[in-house]
Amino acid sequence: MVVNSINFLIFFLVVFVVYYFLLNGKAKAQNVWLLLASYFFYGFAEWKMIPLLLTATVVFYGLGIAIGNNAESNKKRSSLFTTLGVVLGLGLLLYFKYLNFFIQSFSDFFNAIGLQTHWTLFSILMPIGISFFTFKLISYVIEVHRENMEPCRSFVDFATYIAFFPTILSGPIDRPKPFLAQLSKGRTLDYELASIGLKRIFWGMFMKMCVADRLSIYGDAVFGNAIHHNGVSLGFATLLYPIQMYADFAGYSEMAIGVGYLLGIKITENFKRPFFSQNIAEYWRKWHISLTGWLTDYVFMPLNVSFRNMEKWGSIFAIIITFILIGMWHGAAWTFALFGLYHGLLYVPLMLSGAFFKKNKVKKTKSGLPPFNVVLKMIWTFLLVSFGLILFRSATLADAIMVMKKIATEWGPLFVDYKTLINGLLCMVIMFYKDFWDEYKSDKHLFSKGIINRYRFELTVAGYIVLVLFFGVLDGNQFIYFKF
Amino acid sequence: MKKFLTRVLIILIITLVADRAFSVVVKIFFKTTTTTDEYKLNTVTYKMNDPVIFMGSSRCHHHYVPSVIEDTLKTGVYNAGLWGMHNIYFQYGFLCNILARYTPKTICLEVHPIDYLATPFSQTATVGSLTPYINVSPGCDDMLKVAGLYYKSELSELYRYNSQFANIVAGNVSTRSLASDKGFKPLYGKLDTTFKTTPERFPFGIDTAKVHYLQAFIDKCKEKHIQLIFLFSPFYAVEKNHMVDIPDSMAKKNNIPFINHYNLAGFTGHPEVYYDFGHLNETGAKKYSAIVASELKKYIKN
Repeated sequence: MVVNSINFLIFFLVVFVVYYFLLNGKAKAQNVWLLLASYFFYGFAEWKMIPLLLTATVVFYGLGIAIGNNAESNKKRSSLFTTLGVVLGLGLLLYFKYLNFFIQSFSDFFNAIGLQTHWTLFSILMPIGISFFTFKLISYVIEVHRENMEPCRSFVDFATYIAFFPTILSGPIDRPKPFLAQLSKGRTLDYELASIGLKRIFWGMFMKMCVADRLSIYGDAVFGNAIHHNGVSLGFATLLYPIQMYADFAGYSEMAIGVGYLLGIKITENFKRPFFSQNIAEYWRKWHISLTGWLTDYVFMPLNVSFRNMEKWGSIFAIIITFILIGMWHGAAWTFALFGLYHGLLYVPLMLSGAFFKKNKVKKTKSGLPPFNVVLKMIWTFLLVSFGLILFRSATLADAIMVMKKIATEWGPLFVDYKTLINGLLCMVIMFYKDFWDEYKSDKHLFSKGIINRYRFELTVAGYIVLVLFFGVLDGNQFIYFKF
Repeated sequence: MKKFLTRVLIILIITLVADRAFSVVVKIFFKTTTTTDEYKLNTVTYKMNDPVIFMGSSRCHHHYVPSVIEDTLKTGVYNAGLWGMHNIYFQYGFLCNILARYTPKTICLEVHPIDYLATPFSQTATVGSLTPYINVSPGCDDMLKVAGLYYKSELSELYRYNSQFANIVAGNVSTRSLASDKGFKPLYGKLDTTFKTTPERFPFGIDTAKVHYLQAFIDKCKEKHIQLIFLFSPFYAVEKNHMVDIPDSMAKKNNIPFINHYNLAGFTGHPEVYYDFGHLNETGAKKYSAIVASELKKYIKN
C-alpha cells in the first residue's frame, strides 16, 4: 500500500476518523489505535514479517528497561545490555540484508585466488523497511544508555514509535526521545499543523508522481539498456537521476511528514533543498538528514574520538568509514560501498582545507539571488553528486565503468522521448522554482493582497492536485527507498 | 476540526472547478492538434468515413500507404494505425468508438505478438490513449474499466488528458499536417545493420486475456457485417517460433483471410527498405503497400 494510492487514502481516512472523532485527546487509546493501524499497514505490505517486527520490539523494549534500571547501580551491566542491543540490531540487518552478499563475496574471493568453494546462498526474504526500523531500535538503546532519555515504560508507546506507519517503510528515521514525548500527550486536531500536513502531502505527491515517476521512464529506458545507448544519452540520464531520486525520496518524506502532522505528530525533517549546496559536506547536511544525523551521532563521532590522536587524518578516516557505511546501508553490493567511499574521499580536500568546519551561509545579492560564484559551486557539487550516482544506479562495477567510459568517449545524438521529457522537465522546473523560492525568497509571496491572498493556502493545495491530475504518472509506482 | 474540514471542503471545491475549467481549455487544444497521435485519434473517431481502414500499432502506422492502396482498390482507404505499443486492448476500444459513428466495409488488422502474447512491454496501459473518448461507446468504456482508468476519468475531466501536454503543444505549434497522408506516416532513412544482427524474438507465452479481446474484435466485426482481414507485414529479421500460430488459427477458425508476410522475399534481410528492424522506411512502405493492395484486391470487392 503506497502512500499515494487509493488504498492508502481509504486506510488513512479510517485511521483519522477514529483517531479524532472517537479517541480525541485520549493518549493511551490513540496510541493503541496508531499501533494497530501501523501493524495493519506493515502487514498489508508483508504480513509474514510481523512476528519478526513484534519480537524485535519486545526484545528492545526489555533491553531499554534493563539498561535504564542498571544505568546508575551497575554501569557495566547497563553497557552489556546496550552492546547486546547494538549487536542484535546489527545482527538483524546483517542476516537479512548482507549475509548472502558476504557469502558470495568471500566465495568469489576464494575462487579468484584458486581455492574452490561451493557455498550455497540462503533463501532469505528481506523484511521491508528493515534498514529503517533497526536503526530506530539501535538508536533507542544507545540513547537510554547515554542517559539522554528515560527508558520507555509503555510497551504500546515504544511499539508505536518503532512501527509508526508513515515512516516504517522509508523513513525518516525518527529519534526516540522527541517522538515518544509526543506520544505521552493526548492529541486534538491542531488546525495549523494539520493544514501544513495536508499541503506537504500533496506537494510530496507532485514530487513523486510528476517529477520522479516521469523522469524514471527516461532513466529506465536509458540505464536499463545502457549497452545500446551512447555517452550523450547516458550522460543526460546521469544528470537527471539525482533529481529523480530527490523527487522520489524527498517526495515520500514530505508525504510521511504530512501524514504525521495530520495525526498531530511532528516527524523529523529529511531534506532541505540539497541541490542548493556549495560543497559535498553541505549537500549531506541537507540530503537524507535523518540517516546522516544518525550515523554522525552513533558512528562518526565515536570514531572521531577514537582517532583523535591522528588529528585531521583521524577525522578523515572516521568520515570515510562513515560514508562507506552510508553507502552499504543502501544495499548489499560493492557498488554501494564504492559510492560511499567516493563521497568519503570528496570530504578529504574539505577537511584538509578547513572548509568542512565552516558553515556556508546563504549568500544573496541585493536582489535576493545567489551570487554567480555560488551558483557555479552549486553546479559543481551537483555534477559531483551525479557522477557518484552512476555507481549507485549500476548493478555491477563493470556496468558503472561501461557507463562512465561511454560518457567519456561515445558521443552521438541524444535519445529523446519528447512526451516524457517535456512533461518531466516542466514539472522539474516547477519543483526547483518552489525550492528556489523557499531557499531565497521565503518571506515574499506573490499576490499578497485580495481574495487570492485570503485563499492562498487552499489555492496552492488545489494547484498541486490539478498538477498531479494533469502531469502525474498515476499507476502507483513503488518508491526507490522501499527496497532499502 | 470544523475549521479544518471547511478548509478541506474549500480545497475540494476549488480543485473541482479548476479541473473542469482547465479540462475545457485542454479539450479545445486537444481537438485542434494537426500532427500528433491525438490528431489521428480525433479524425478516426469523429470524421473519417472511408470504407477500408487499416488498424494496428506502429507497424501499421508506417507500413500502409493509403494513396498506393487506393489506386489498386479504387476505394477510399484510411490508415488508423497508431505509433507505440497499441495492442488489442486499445484496438478493441478504438474499434468500438469508430463503430459508434459509422460502419466501414473492410477492416485490415495488422496483428502483432503484442496482441496475443504476454509481452512485458505492452499491457492494458495502452488503453490510456482512449481516456479523452470516455462515454463514446460502451465497448471503449469497458476497456477503460479493464485498464482501471474509467472511474478516474469520470471523476476528473483533466485526468482524461493526463500526460498529453507535450503532444497537445506540439500538435498545435507544428505547421506540418498529417491530414494529407490519410493517417500514414513515412519513416525516412535506412537501417544500419552494423549494430545488431540477431533476429527479433518473442519468447512469450499466450496471453489469454488478449486472445479474448482479439476474438471480441472479430465478433464485433461479424456483428456489424464488416469484412475483417488479418495482416502481418515483414520484419527485417525475425525468429518465427510460434509467433503467428495464434492469429493463424483464429483466422482459420473464424474464416478470416490472413495475409502473412512476416518473412517476405525482397523485404526480409533487405536493409534498404527498412528504417529499423521492425519498421519499413518510406520506400519499403510504398513497395509493400503495392504488394498488399494486389493481394487485397482478391478479397475486397467494391
